[in-house]
Amino acid sequence: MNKAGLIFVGISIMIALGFMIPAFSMPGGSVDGAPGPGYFPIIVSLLVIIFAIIQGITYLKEDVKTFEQTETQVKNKPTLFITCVTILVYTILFSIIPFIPLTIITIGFLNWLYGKKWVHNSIFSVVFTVVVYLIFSKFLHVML
Amino acid sequence: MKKKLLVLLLVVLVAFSLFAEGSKEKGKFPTKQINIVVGASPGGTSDVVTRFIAKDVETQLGVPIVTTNKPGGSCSVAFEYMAAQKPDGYNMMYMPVESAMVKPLGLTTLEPSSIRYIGLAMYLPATVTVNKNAPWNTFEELIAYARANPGKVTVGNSGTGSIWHFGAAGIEQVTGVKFNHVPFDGGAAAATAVMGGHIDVAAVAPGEVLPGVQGGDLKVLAIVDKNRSNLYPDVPSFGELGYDVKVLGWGAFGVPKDTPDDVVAILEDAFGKAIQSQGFRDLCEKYGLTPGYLNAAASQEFAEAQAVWYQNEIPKFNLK
Amino acid sequence: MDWITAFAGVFRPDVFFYLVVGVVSGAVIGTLPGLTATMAVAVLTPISFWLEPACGFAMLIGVYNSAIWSGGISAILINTPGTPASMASTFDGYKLARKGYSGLALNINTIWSVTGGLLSTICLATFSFPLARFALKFGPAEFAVVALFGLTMMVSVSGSSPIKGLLVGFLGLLFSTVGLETIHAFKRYTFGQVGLLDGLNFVAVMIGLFGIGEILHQIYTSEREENVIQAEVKTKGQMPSPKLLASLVPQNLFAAAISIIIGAIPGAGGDIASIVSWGQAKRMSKFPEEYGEGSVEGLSVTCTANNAVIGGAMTTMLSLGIPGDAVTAILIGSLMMYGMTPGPMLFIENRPFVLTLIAQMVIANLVILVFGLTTSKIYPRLLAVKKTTLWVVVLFSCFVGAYAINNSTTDLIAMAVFGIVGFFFKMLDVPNGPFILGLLLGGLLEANLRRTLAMTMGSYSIFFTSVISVTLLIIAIVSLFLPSIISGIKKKFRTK
Repeated sequence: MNKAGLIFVGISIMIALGFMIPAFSMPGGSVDGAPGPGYFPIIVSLLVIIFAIIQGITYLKEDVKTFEQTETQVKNKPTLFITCVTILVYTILFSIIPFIPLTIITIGFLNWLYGKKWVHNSIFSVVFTVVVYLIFSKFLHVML
Repeated sequence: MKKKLLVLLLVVLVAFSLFAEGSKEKGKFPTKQINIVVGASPGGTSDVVTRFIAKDVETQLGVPIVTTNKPGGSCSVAFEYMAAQKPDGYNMMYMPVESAMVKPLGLTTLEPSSIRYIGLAMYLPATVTVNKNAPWNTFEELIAYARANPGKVTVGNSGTGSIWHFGAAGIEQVTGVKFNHVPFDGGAAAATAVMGGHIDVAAVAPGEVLPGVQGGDLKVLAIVDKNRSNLYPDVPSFGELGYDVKVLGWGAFGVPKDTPDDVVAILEDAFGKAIQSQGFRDLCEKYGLTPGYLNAAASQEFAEAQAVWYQNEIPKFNLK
Repeated sequence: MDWITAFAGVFRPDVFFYLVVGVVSGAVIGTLPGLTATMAVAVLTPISFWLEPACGFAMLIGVYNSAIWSGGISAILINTPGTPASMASTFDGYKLARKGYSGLALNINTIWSVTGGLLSTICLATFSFPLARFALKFGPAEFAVVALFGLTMMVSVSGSSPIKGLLVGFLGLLFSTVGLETIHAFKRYTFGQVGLLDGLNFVAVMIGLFGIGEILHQIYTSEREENVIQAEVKTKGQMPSPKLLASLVPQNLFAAAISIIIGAIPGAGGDIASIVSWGQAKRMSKFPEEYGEGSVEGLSVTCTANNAVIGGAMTTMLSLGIPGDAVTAILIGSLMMYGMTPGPMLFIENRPFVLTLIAQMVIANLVILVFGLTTSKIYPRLLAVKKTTLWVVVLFSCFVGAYAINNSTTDLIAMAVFGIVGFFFKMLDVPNGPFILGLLLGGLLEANLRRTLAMTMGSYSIFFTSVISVTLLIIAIVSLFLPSIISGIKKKFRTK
């Protein structure tokens, strides 16, 4: 049995249901013959469920432990987790906090997390942020 | 060690916040770059008009004016963005006809009264265009055929709920026929489908059918406007044919609602000059737009009246 | 004679200067993930208005060709496509780089991109009108079949497990339904978020899955102090031998042909062309098992494909005035600003200008060839930094790039979420390709299927009466089953 695989299959089925159930209450096709907005999501989510079940059976028969971690992976797990959280927090704060301070702090934090020396870290985070800001905001006119 | 780092970070932050604020001179406008947001992709009519006007205003005001595209949801993404910006005159938006339609369409809660218009630049008529091999040579022939065969004539528009969808529906209303509406992703795609013979009619903007007309693949039967278009001087207008014009596209500029009056006055003046310039009139001719300037107060009134009209009409089209 | 004047015109110092400026800026913008060729051209368009048409267009043509080419550089080096068109180049390009053949992969990218660009320019110069006429025959019904044909590639890009690939492929199709749909203007799964009205941005999701997913995977699995390139960079064999190049010619000619047609069809671009070419080449290859594991052949067809699209798209744009893809839509705008309307009349009224454009396409590709081959040694050296530095640089380039597509924080958040999804896909050995393909083609398939049914009042018969659609359906079915039939027959013979 492949536990991680089965979780993936389970999530896929849940997503498919999440798309399928609201699709049934969407308006029907119009008089001129075009099928309604629910038509396509219902068909596709059915296909997802069918293939998820087939794949699920394969995973049940499989005899592997996917998440047998190596030593490096065990050691890196906290770093990975914090990086993921940082990415999400950064993207959510992006529209709230101005670009330059937010980016300098986030890069500084990540560099610290990855064990960079502080001199290198502070120069790198400030210079990189400013260069990115100048290129994107001043030259490419992105609204940072 | 960490303390030093913290201090350094703070110093940098303070330096940058000072830098970002820039020179803050009271009572003088403008002193820095003005941003104009376009709620559509680059290359379309909205984008071209905005960039052209921006270039003119730039020389008048002496500050850089930067046009950025923020497409999505018939301009509602850009609309919501603009309504939340600082009302200091440095944030502006191109306000197309869709700004009066997005609320009744259920895309956002914003409407023309949520923004301050500073001037209307032009109107955009629909053209009734068919393939060169189509059996109809006049608008009347097309309507006669459509009347005899209800629901059989396929009319391409730029998407359900888009301006040209209502444009075609407006033609149905005044002529009393029934079309089969086929939504496309944008007016150019509908014009292409007519060129390929996949649908019968495209009721889209004049510029969108121009290459096909010039190349002899398409013929324009009517302009849905009171007067003829400079682009197609031989094509009769709805006014001449004796029909009412129900739906017309338009484009204006706007700023967040609470922008101070003196700033609005400066922008109104500069944009008014740019819109009434010969250069812009030439551009309009090239794209088949109808130049027509309205000042801040008049454009506000016009946009709000349009919003009332769409609020009444859109539910009748039974979109959902 | 016209041609000589046209080519001589490109070598005017100012025109040539702007052409090179275009190529260099295109190379920079194209390499950065999220900054697409469309954006590169959009940014330079206002600048080009200050110049005379020949100079302005030299710059735009340079940027367009170069940004598509350089999208492959980041695909090869950091597994993040610089532009959507180079998505399929990650499949083999990144594997090659991991094996120490980054120089070879970059040179293959340059050589075949330029070949694709030149072949498509020849098409543009010789039979643009018939080609554009043919492209017009693609209506909604044919589009739906093209999308369906593209979806059969899900099996090819699935790697070892087709079932897993189909599962995520259909998940991708499902996610493509988010947003306001064009047919009934109904809001699906937007949860009241205005940012989701236009659906999940394909480029943002792609950057997340490929770029962020790869970085997270490295953070999890590797020792921190390592330098980026683990495998020893091979010094020999970085410049492909003539023999190797010659062996790749047939597949690439075929890929170029497919891609020129796809490019000419309005609304279908390099992303679809490169993935279809890759899938098709894999099906026809003698070594399909190498595809996705670092096949030079696989990489070369994707490179040919995305640049061959340019000539196709330009064909439709110039001869009919219809945009063949997003970039040519902007080019139409700038042509009109210069007082020229693209379309058949352009060839008659402004013939010298059309010839100049074609000459510029040729020269731009040659400049890319020289520029690309000379700089290919520098790029891998840029990666000779500590892994941790690269992680931060790639992460933040992806962030800013994803935001820059539409100035949208929704895109940014979508990128972050799919980045984490990409990591789990990698851990579970689930391929990214089918998901991206589903997301890319879902809208095309659904909208055109429903548009066709709106046109025909609900009748499906058009799919079986249109010559193009029937032909494509047959090709799709045959190419889906032929490889397994052939291998089945071979096995039988062997066992006998």
